[in-house]
Amino acid sequence: MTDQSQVAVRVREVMAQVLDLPPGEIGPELSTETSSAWTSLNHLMLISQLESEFGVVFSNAEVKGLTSFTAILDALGRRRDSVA
Amino acid sequence: MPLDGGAIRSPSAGGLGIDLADPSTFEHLAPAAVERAARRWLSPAERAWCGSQPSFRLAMVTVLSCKESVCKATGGATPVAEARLAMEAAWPRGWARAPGPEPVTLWWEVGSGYILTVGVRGPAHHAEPLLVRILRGRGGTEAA
Repeated sequence: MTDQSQVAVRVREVMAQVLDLPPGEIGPELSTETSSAWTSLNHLMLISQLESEFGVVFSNAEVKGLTSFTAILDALGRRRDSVA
Repeated sequence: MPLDGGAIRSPSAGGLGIDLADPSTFEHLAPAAVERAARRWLSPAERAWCGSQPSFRLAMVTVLSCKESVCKATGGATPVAEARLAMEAAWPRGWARAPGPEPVTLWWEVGSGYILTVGVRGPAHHAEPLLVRILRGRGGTEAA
């Protein structure tokens, strides 16, 4: 399993927990536009859980843009060196 | 994001921001996750206020909902992450203030199936009477 796919598995687990969705429903198509579970309050919880899981801190500008599963993976990919 | 109300502009007294949250928000998560989110998004004073309410989780959701209303009332000029609130301890409803260059006065109410927060941008002496008029229009509250 590559680093990237391991990160995707961990992101999927965190998102499933926070959004209270089956892991199978977490994928590239999931976004704030497509999921009624991804409310603005759950978004804040998701960010703090992801930061804890991966040992990173997102900037306010990044937080606004992390509105899809893919955007989260991309943001973590850009921090490959600092992801725990 | 689906659960939220929209932002409405009120030209005479500044922006109006309304947020509606589900009281069961974060109920399925471990207390440690709730505490972590509180440390990330709330100031020490806001966390202290939450700690003195009947339910820390419910109080935190209320504060976050107030911050959403501040963001909406200021047209995004005050992002959720930067909004700082002075909450008035009168559970389950009361006033809150977000001071700063774009001050916002808020009314918050925790009901049996909802958390409603309404914020009006502008000085308190302008915003409070408007909020009272809005709240009277929806059937009244203790503040109204």
